[in-house]
Amino acid sequence: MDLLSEFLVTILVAIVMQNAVFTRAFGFTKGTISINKPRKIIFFGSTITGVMLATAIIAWPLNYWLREYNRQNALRYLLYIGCLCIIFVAVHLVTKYFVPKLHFYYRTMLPFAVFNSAVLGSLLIAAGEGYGYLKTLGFAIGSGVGYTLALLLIHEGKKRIHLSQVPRSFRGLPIMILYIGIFSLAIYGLIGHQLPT
Amino acid sequence: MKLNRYPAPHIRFRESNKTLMSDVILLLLVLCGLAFLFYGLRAVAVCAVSVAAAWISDLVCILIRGKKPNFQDFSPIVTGLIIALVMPATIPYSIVVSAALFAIVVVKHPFGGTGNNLFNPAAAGFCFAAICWPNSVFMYPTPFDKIPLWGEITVKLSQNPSFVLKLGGIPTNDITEMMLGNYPGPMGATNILVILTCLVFLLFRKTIRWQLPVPFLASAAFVAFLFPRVGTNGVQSVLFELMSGSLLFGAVFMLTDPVTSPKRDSSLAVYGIFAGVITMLFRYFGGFEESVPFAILFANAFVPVIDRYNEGFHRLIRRKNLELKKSKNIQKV
Amino acid sequence: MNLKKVRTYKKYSRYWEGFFSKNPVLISGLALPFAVMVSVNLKSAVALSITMAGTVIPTVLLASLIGQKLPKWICAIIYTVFSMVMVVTCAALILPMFPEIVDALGVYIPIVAVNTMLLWLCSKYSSDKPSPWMALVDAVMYSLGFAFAICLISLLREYFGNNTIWGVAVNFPIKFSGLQIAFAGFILVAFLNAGFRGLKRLILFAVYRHSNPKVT
Repeated sequence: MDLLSEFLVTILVAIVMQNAVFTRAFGFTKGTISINKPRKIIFFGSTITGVMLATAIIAWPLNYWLREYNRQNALRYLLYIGCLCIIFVAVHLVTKYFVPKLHFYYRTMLPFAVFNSAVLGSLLIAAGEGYGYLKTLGFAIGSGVGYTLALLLIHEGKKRIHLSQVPRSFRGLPIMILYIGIFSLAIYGLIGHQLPT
Repeated sequence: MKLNRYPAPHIRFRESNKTLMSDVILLLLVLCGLAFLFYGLRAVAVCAVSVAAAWISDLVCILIRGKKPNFQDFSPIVTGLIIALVMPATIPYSIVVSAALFAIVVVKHPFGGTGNNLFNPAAAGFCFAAICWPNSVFMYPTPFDKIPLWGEITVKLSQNPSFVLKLGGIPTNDITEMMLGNYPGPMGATNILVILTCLVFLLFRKTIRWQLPVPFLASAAFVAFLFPRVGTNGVQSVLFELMSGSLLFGAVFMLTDPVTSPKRDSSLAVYGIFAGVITMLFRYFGGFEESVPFAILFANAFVPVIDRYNEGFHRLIRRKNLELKKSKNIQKV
Repeated sequence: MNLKKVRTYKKYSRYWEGFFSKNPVLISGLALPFAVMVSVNLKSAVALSITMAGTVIPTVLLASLIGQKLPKWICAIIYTVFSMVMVVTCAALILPMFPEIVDALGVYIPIVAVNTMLLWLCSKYSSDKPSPWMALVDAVMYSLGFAFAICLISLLREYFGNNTIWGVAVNFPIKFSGLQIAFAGFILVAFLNAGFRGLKRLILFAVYRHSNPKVT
């Protein structure tokens, strides 16, 4: 019961208080905030969540096993990027030979979903904080879901901003960054201090 | 038929921006007068500085954007007054000016100025000041102390009851004194009775709709009643939670901003309940004792979502009703 | 409409577009996490700029050399692993220079290996006609542009937010300590982005107006 509640609390914390986009600015670029359909955002976000979870499942035991040899975190970085590459190859090959319909979408999207700062950053934060296995999995799921929800909220905001008479220089990317910034200011009322990096 | 899409505020009836804003300004000036009674000339000076900063920066922004200034638009004055009234009377002038500038230059004009802003400028300005200078913003003078107009502040500063609640203690303030505003707190937000009168006046004048502040206060009170922080009975918890800080002031003046609130009555109620719950969550788990402005900013981001889904829900109900009617007609025939 | 001057301007600006007209942070909106989160003081901005340059330049060169010969999905893996090796090397190099900064940067050093600026440049130079010379020019210019942008932002944030420059106290009457927090990074990046877009438009308009005087 304690384990389950800890798992759920970690997921909630990762969604709201340590949101990948609003508090750490991970995985937020022109490309990700200009996805124009909620369905695409959910597809992209669920891919990211799956990748994060799979990487956490295989990388945590390896990281734990190799912790003696870790100097200046270099080994950990290489280990996590190696695990991401393995997941990337696995997803690519499996979809190519067994689910060609999915592979059609993944062809261009998968590199951006796997080699994304949201994925690597969240996993490395969980590793750096020394979370346990279950907590790491919870953090991975929570970060992925939080990232998806953040992109959906940004999409809604973008729709509303289209109705406003935004000054010419601010149209497009700058006003979206400003929107994220002000929402981040609101979330800061909940955190109240600096987060670990 | 040609349909035009316009941004908020969607004002029907004979009201205009000017009449709505002047109603609010009138009430804020009453609160300002009370602040003058409690804290002397310094309170008026803070309000004046804030309003001047907001108005001048608004004018400059409009000129930079190459638009024609509209002197009938009183919204920067409202923003300036709200920012000043949620601050303590001892606040340095530079902080008030920074908050007003942040509100107008960062939150209001990049989104398109009056009628287009997504976030409440006054709430954002206060949040900025609270994050940058928490020691000046959350320390309040006692009423009827002599505060010098210029120079070093030497009066004794103390905390608001909301800080005591945050620490997990029971405030020692008397409830009647709190009703009359005779306790350390934000300049304009301590006079509970006067603010309640303002709420009734605004509702009576139809400047604001009851669907917004009433669900907000009700949901905040409900959360406070169910999960009391004070550890005693629920009723005491509700009274202290609603009266401490600027919760009531925020409910009457910040939340009801016609630009950033949703359109339909039912969406207003959903928005109010959402904002109330978020406010209490921020109070319970947040980093600051004052949570209303943060919660309002947070809830503002969800207004388009609430509006859109509520519209879809209404459409669904209408369609179901039509189908029912049609099937009845067919049966009759 | 005489567009000769505008075309000449565009032709020559091709060589330094990464620095100004397509600046990764200030105009194109690439590599934003660093511009928002890392730019709290000048030292960390410089440390991160060195890491970025040390990673982007070799990886983009590699992409322009081998990009066409291998399938795309293998390329993506090679680039990422190679860039992570470069990041680890650069981190080891900058550690003696700024020991406390590398600790403070934390997770933002390894994610240099997967930043969008790198991925975008690599995908650009592994397509049809790769030219290693242009790849080198672009990589250097984009790195310089990134360094310029992040140093500008961090200078503003350090000066107004902490009243210091490079750790040395500077006199300023008011201290906006909120500028050291994430939201201020977002807001500053947004304003600088808008400002530089406006500037770019003004320059293009001035060049156009030079050869097309206004008829009155």
